[in-house]
Amino acid sequence: METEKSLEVKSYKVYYKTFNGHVRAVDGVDLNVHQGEIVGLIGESGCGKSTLAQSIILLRPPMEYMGGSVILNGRYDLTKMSPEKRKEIMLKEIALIPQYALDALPIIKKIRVFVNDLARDKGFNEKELLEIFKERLRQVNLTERILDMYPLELSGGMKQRVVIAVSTLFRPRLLIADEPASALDVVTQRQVLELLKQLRDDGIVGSLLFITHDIASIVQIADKIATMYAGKVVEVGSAETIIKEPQHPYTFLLINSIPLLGVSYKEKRLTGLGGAPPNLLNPPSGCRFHPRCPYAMPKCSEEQPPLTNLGEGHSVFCWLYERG
Amino acid sequence: MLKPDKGADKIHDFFAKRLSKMFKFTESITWILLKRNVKFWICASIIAIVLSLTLIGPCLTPYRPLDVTTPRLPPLSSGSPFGTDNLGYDVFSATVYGLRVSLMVGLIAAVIATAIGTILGLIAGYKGGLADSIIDGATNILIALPAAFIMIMVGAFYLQMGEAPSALREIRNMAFLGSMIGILMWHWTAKAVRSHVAALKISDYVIVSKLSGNSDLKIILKEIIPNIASYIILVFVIQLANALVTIVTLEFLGIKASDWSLFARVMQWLQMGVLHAHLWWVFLIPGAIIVAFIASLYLIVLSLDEVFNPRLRRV
Amino acid sequence: MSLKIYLAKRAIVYFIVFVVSITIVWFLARFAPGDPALTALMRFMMAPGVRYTEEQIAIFKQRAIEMLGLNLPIHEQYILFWRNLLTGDWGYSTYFSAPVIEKLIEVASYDLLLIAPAILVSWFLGNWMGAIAARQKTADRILMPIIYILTATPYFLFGLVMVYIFGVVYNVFKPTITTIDITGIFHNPNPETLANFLRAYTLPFISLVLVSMGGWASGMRTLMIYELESNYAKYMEALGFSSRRISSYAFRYAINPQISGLGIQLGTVIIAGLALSSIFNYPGAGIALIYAINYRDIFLIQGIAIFYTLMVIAANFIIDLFYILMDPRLRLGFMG
Repeated sequence: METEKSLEVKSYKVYYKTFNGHVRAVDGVDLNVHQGEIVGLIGESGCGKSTLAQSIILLRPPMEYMGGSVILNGRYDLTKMSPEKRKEIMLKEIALIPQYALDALPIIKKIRVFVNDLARDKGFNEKELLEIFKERLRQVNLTERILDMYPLELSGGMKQRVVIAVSTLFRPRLLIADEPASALDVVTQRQVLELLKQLRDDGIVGSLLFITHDIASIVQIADKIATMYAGKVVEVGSAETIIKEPQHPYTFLLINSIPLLGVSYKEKRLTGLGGAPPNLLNPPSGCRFHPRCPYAMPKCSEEQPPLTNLGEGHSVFCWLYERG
Repeated sequence: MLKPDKGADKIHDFFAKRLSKMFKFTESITWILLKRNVKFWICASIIAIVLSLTLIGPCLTPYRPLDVTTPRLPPLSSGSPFGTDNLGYDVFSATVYGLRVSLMVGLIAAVIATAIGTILGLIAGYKGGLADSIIDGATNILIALPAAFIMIMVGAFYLQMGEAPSALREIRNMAFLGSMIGILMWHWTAKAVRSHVAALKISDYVIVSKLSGNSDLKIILKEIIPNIASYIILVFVIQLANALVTIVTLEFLGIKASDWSLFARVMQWLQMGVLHAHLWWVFLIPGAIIVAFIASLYLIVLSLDEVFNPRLRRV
Repeated sequence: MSLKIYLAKRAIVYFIVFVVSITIVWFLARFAPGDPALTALMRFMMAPGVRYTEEQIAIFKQRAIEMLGLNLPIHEQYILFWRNLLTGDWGYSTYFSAPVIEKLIEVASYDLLLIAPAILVSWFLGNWMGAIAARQKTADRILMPIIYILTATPYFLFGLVMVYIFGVVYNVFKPTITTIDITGIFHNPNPETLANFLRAYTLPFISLVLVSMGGWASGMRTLMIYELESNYAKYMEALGFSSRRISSYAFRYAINPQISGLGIQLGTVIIAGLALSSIFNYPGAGIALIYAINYRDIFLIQGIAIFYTLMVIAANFIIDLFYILMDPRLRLGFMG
């Protein structure tokens, strides 16, 4: 039996409204996250992954919902929800670790006061919530001392962990982490990644959607990996498969852009990716990757490739794999 | 046979370049946003109307400010579109002549404040170090000074008031008053310009320009000034509005550059009891005009700010 | 650096500013063309209506010079000035025929009665109004034009309109106040003097409040809009905080510049209060100033300048103190 899906995104479209037209940041995305899974979403800057995360949590101008559905925990359609209901389920069913996490805590309040205010707004007993928060702090390796500090007194890594503690207070079934480790040093990065995995293992977090441009970090904890390019998901598969046998040219080139440990350049040269991400105001016709794709065929510029199921949860959108 | 005129060619090129730059601008986002901004156009028209009043107003009225005609005429009477007061002074001519004086003093003050402020701000922001500390100190002292009282003392005792009206003396007074106000107002500009310039100084293209061996003066002229030019214009408009408010208040207290100063006359009228005589147009019309003008100046700056600053836009 | 050292530094700065300002005022008064001080003192000494010979005038002039210390070297004059100031000898007002210090205290207490509450009320009301305009678009549409017209109206013009409508046309309030209206209630408290006081006090008070309010409201509005778009506001919304709570946090951020703004504006607002009260003939420094300017009463003008400068600087210092205590960054010693 299939495990329950905590997130089911179908044909989801979110555009940015600008004076020059619509920027098609998320253009028909299908994505699933099952309970207990860690799904990594990778892609370049500007491919729409952050827009995806932000629009799921909170859709605000200039973002505009253009179609599709986002079903949370099999029950809530986030695209049709009223703002009141949304506030209710925030933090309980779904939580966010934002890209600007280092900036996310208001500096004018001590951490303790912030959590107390949260308790009051959520209709919770302040003391109880504080106890839960203290436990979270322990789980993220912070002492209770920070409760009486202001956010400016904390280092980047500490702030990140406080945000994780706050966002996981109510044991969310789905946690979306948007570049949680990008602004940190390598050592702290690893700690944060390990922490997120631990939280999932301990059941504090039901499932995790992890968004980043850094493949190296995703490999360490993801069960499943999805690649996104120019507003569309191009490949999905288990972490091992994607890393060892990437099928989509874009994924392939991405993985091979990483220097391998122990391999000198004489043995294997880095290929890298030529060109630049496309302008999402006027995306390329057909498959959006075709201008940069070394395997492009004439068909690629004419039609968008359909989904091709390669078995065992591995699917790809590419004309190279079209089965008759 | 006619030979092509090199001079005409040069002039043609000059305008062609400018016009094509203007057209490029009209396609830009700024222009599109500006066109839609209703506030901007209303205020710009108000300003244009008031300015034309000051420029051609005097030609439209047969009376001079101190001429006496029929008393207690309400507005829209023939010959006295703004009415007259209880002694027969024509309000329209008092307004248009008076506005000239007040606006001129305000303009002088704003120009001086903006000029001094910009230059000092540029030096402080660009050179940094000792120059910055000195200018910063001067700015802080100026901010804390009770400028109003200084203006009152200078205005009360240092302006020359003679019995007979003299154009030369009035012009001297206007310049003096305007300069004094300007000298007490520049600190605001200097602070703002300084922070802008300091931020620009460490931007990449300035560093590149420096590495290319350009002298400091050239960098300031070519890189920094074009980038703060629009900001300076906004600052100037705000300074003008502030200066006008100051001048009107000073005139009201009795410190005037000329006997024709608009709000000095309004004060006189008040003391002559126009309020109790129910001659409301005597203070309301000049008042409304100056309020509309000052408000438009502020609003224009606000609408331009909305256009340039994305966070303030309510799209 | 610790809080105490920072405060001490600020106090020194304010003190220096005070000394510099007073020196400038003294300088302007001392070197005013036409020697108005001399003239004033002479006028005081000579009986009106009597014609004096040239020699007698010269004797008066000599006596006046000696009294003012004008025959002393300039630095000694400066020291004399400070000595007089600190011992309460602020000169003599020729217009009111009374020592300046007496008149000043009288006038300043009435001004305090009017202007201090007006400043506080307008600041609180204005910020509240601006915050509402920022939070709700519907309120914004109505409030914004009101705010801007209020900002741009020079104080006294607003006062004039108020006086005309509510004083002359609809005789609700008194258009011209006499001193008794204000002092009556303090000498003789009873319902009648209270009613009289209110009739006289309300108009100038409301005018001052309404016009200052506009400035604060517009500033607060811009600041709040800016804050509501910041990262912490977005995070709080993602956490499910109520909009009320988010607004109150944003307000807490936005209020900081408004507090320092109050300090900066204080001088202007006080002057505006003076100008405004003069329209209503309120017995404050405004009216005194107008008479003094017209009459070239140098000692009174100088006295008002010094006294009110001191008030403004003191108020600025208090606000500075308050600001320092409120900002956690400064409290923890991160800045300064």
